[in-house]
Amino acid sequence: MPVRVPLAVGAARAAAHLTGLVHHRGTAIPGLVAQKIWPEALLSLGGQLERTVVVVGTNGKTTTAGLIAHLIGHGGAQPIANRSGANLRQGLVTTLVGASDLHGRIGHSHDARRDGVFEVDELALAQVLPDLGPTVIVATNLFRDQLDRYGEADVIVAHWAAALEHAAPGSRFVYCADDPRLAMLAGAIDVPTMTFGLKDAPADRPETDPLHRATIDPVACRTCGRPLVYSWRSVGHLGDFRCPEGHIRRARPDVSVVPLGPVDRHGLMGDGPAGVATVRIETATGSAVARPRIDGLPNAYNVAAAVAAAAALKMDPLAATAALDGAGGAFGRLERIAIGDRILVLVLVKNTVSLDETARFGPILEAEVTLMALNDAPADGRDVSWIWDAPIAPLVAARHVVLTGTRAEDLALRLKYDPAVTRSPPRSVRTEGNVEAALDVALAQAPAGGTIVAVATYTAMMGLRAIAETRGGVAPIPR
Amino acid sequence: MPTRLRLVHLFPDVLRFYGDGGNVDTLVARAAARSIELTVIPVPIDATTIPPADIVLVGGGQDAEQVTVALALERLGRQLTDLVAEGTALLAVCGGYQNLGRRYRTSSGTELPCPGLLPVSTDGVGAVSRLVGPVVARLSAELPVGAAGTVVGFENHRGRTTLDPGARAFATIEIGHGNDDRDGTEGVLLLPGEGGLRGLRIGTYLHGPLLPRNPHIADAVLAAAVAQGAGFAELAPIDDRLDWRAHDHAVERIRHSARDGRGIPGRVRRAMNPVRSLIGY
Repeated sequence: MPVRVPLAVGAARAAAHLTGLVHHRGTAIPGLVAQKIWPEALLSLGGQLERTVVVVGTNGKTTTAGLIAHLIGHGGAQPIANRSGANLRQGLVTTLVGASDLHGRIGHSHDARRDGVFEVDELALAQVLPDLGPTVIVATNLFRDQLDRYGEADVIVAHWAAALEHAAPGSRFVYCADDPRLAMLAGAIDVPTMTFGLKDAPADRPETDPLHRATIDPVACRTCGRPLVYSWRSVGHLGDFRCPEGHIRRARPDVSVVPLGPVDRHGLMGDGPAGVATVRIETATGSAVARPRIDGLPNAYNVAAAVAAAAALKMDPLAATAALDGAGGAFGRLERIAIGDRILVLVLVKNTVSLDETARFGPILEAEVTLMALNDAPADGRDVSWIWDAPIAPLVAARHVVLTGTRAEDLALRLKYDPAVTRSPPRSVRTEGNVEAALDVALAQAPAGGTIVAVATYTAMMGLRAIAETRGGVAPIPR
Repeated sequence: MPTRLRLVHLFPDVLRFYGDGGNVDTLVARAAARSIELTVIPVPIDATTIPPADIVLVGGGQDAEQVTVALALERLGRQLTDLVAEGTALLAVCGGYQNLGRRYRTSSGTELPCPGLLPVSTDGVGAVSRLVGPVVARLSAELPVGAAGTVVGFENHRGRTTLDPGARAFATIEIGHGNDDRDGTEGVLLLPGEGGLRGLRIGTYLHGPLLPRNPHIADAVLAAAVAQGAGFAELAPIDDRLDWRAHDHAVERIRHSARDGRGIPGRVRRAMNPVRSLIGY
């Protein structure tokens, strides 16, 4: 055992300690330090895992990875997982170093090999796959997102195709059958697949709803270039698609999901053990019902993705479905936090589709105040033009609205110029440059026992959550 | 002064990335503030005709969709040129800007048919990096926007665009890349009557969307539409404080971060990226 392994592990731990002192989310830095000293860290540590699941996609990565970890942990030992969302190569190394001993060993003996579940950034897949060995790769969806960083969705398709070319033998590709970009990708690679998707057209999505039309990406057939046609749509460009020339069409999913509606919309706001949504999962061998503590159509997809990943791991999908009863969401994703006698519901938004889905929840979340926080740090996406592509009126109508973040003025203009907002105006609009001051204004505007919905981009959400932690409302994010 | 105007939003089913729909909302609201009802007519990619209009707006799309747009323009380009000849104001952003030039070569080297409505040529040169980031530029002095001389936006394009000899840039780059990342020009501007067409023509790479944070440009387009090809009409002033606060703050932030970046080698800055993304800076 070369001396640099304990050196790397020790240095990473010291870095984790130091960054924890300075800033309690320094999750990439320990991995960077470890990799510098020990470049084979991911290969060596990742190679010791029994089963590895990697989750990629634009939306739903953290939630889906959490559900998969729940399913794996349900039967035995908790898997190693990057729950904090540090999803670049160095973030995975941080997580694995944290789970290893000083000699870079994970688990104490060979009969106790551990599993790993990792969400991975869209453009980091090629940097982690070769080192992780046989893997179940779950692709949730591919929406337009952070165009400043990724360029275009087609760039990511090409990156994933190249990464999957180098997937170890025995790997499985689990993807959303309703996403034509993923279906075309799967058709172009030589990796066994497993699919998930909706069973039928969603009940709550009238195709003609003009508010939401601009959120749908046009997707063209990669063979003939003609725009795909749909018999129904679900989230963004997902749906029952086909090429008008017959080159490709949606395949029936191996694992399909039927959202049966919420058990209790207010359950969303409660933190009791009761489930809040009911979904039925159907496979070739039968069907089962799950009552996870997450609601909405995107989460129905996340549940189906987790069950399909379980099936790819040779677990029984119907037993897995039942095991998702009470499984929760992830931090900052429709997360309910008590601050004094007020309730803060924290919602991460990062692109047009997630803002659209949040707006669909807007009227359901019975809040008196909407706090919108828009930052443009690299982790948020420097280009914030996506706020103009999704409806925003349902989130602000008849509420007090507080705007904050480095791009608060863009939100103010977004509200000023939206005809739907002019028709259903907010009760008040205030702009506060400082996030904590904005939260205080929002708390003051909500009545006792009232609710504030905070719609925030990534760094703004993390900032709000950190403030909520210091005020005792919620436990820190697990490392 | 007319009380009703029409705005054609060209190919919103294909060219609607980057929030360009915000440009439509801004023009409608700023017209309404002057008691002008601006009717929006979406013209889809499979349309066979373009209805008469006072303003035509074209947005941006993904590279893959530009072939589709080129084919549609082969059908509709003549009609579009005729409209602008009669005085319709044209604002073309990013993909729309590239497609309406004289020549557009895709990254795979294919020459796409172009209507030549804007005196520019674009190369989608394959291996070269995308030009991405915030932009501050100085507007052409020929655009009647009063004292306000800056334009702020966000660019994200792979194509390099070259102005024809003698063509006038829409703006001069202060921070950012612009048309070709070399000559310091951004976009193209043709005033009403220039080049034998009566309509104002603006082509630009600037998203953001462009108009909400640049109310002077929105009003220039509106003023040209009101004048119906006879220069720019005088528009009544409206409450712009929110818009200018957003404009000025954006300019200030972009200048500030450009100053910070200066002197630090690219390699060091890139190495700092994971740290910067964590601390939100």
